[in-house]
Amino acid sequence: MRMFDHHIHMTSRTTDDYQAMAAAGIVAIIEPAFWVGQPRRNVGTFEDYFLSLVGWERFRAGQFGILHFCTIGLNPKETNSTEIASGVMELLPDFLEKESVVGVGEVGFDDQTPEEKRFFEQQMDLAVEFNLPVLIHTPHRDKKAGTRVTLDIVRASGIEPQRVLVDHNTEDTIEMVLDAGCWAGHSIYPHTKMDEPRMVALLRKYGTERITINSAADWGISDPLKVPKTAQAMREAGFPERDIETIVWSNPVAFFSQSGRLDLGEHAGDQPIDQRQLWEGNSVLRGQTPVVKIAS
Amino acid sequence: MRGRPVRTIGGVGLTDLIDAVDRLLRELSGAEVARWIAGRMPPTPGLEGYRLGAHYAAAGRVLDDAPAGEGMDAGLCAAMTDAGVEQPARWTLLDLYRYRLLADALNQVSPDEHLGVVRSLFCKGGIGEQRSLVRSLILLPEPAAFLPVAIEACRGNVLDVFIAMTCENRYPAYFFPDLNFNQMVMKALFNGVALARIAGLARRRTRELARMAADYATERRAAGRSIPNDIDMIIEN
Ligand SMILES: [Zn+2]
Repeated sequence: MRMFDHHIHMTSRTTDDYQAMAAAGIVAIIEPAFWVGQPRRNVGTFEDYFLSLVGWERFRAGQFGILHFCTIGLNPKETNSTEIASGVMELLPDFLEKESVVGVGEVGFDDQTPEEKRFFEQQMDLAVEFNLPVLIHTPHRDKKAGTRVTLDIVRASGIEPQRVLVDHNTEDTIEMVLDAGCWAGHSIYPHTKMDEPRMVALLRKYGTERITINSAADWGISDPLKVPKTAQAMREAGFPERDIETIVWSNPVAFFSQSGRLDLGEHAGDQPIDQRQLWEGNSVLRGQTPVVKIAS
Repeated sequence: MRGRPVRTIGGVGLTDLIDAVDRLLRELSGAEVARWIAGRMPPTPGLEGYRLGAHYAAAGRVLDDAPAGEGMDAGLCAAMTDAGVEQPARWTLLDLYRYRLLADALNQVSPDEHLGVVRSLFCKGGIGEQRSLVRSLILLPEPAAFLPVAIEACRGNVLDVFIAMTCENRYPAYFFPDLNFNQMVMKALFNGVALARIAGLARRRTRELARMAADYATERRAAGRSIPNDIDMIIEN
């Protein structure tokens, strides 16, 4: 079954991960711009990071037959360095024009400071201006209250709620997110956030409408195969195949198609991976084993 | 170019070439796209406040990125070929538009600003933008001025951009110093790019390139690896 992990930070992952993901059926991913584990001290560092999301990382994924899209935004944690944050805000409009950018994100709250609120609101305005869907990160600390304020900001922004995906939900937040008309994302993570059995229970209770899952894999202890693993957990719990496909493919595709830029090409179907095709047909290469790692 | 010496490409002036591109864009892309294009052209003169990079990028969502093929105008193809473009029919409407936009933008600033404009587009571009850009370098006024960008395009590891620079036009063959040209050919060998596709390779074969290739063959043999069979194209027998 083809799968779509709509929240994964591949910049922090290895080629082994890409290989395992492709083998498990993942054909498309979205890499949201995020916090790289250590605070950045220069606006230019952000610019190079955003460029890698529309350039190098996109090519790297393509070598494994995986379509790579991204969302661009200023993550909540780093809005607290306001001088740098203001510089990053000036970069965003140019990046939001790029063809592989399918949304604004991840934005939202971390410590729930006034600065975080200000830059979150400004980026909601950008999403409206550029007609892009938004991927919202919800805070890990004081989550329930943070999610409530998040939804207030979504409402105040004037964006249509169905163009907003509120991510990292738990049993405590899913209902208010769905009630607000937004999509509810769930990050299946080894020790925190959400796990497979709990996710299966949530799907039993709330059905599949406007619900998505992702691995949110990054530089921490995380698992890039959580989408296929959750699909398997659903199967074992007796969910029909069409429900599984809704969760791991149709729903994220439907949500991010609202950008008008989610060009899934031949990967919309079940295609075998042929790395040579990526380089304008076999005529370019000699037909030896396609290179995976480029020597330079 | 308005008020400046006219560069001639394949017997037609640069302005005529751009007019031909314009006509083709109008013919092949519908009225809606034509309106979109018209609303985003650079102001005259100067580029103050004009978001060239944003428009260059945004075109990727509007214009068709499939090879124009049969749709290409024969006269335009001939002029492009004459200027050093390999298989102009592989250009896409998106490439043509971006070329037209850039040529117009360069026309608004003095020649000593040209490299800066092009370098900035390259550095801030995604893969598709970089590919369009390197395809078009050879059709810009005084292409030699953009050598640092062309060399940078071969330095990167995104193969789509490398191939666009190496195989799709004769820019490297015409303008690269030996050092950079040889490194480019060796990188093509490393990455499995067929040497037959390198534009203008025949006229850039040198003893030094032959030596580098022979050393590479020795290294491969020592490691028990296969040797690309088209390496003979550059090794002297
Ligand atoms: Zn994340």
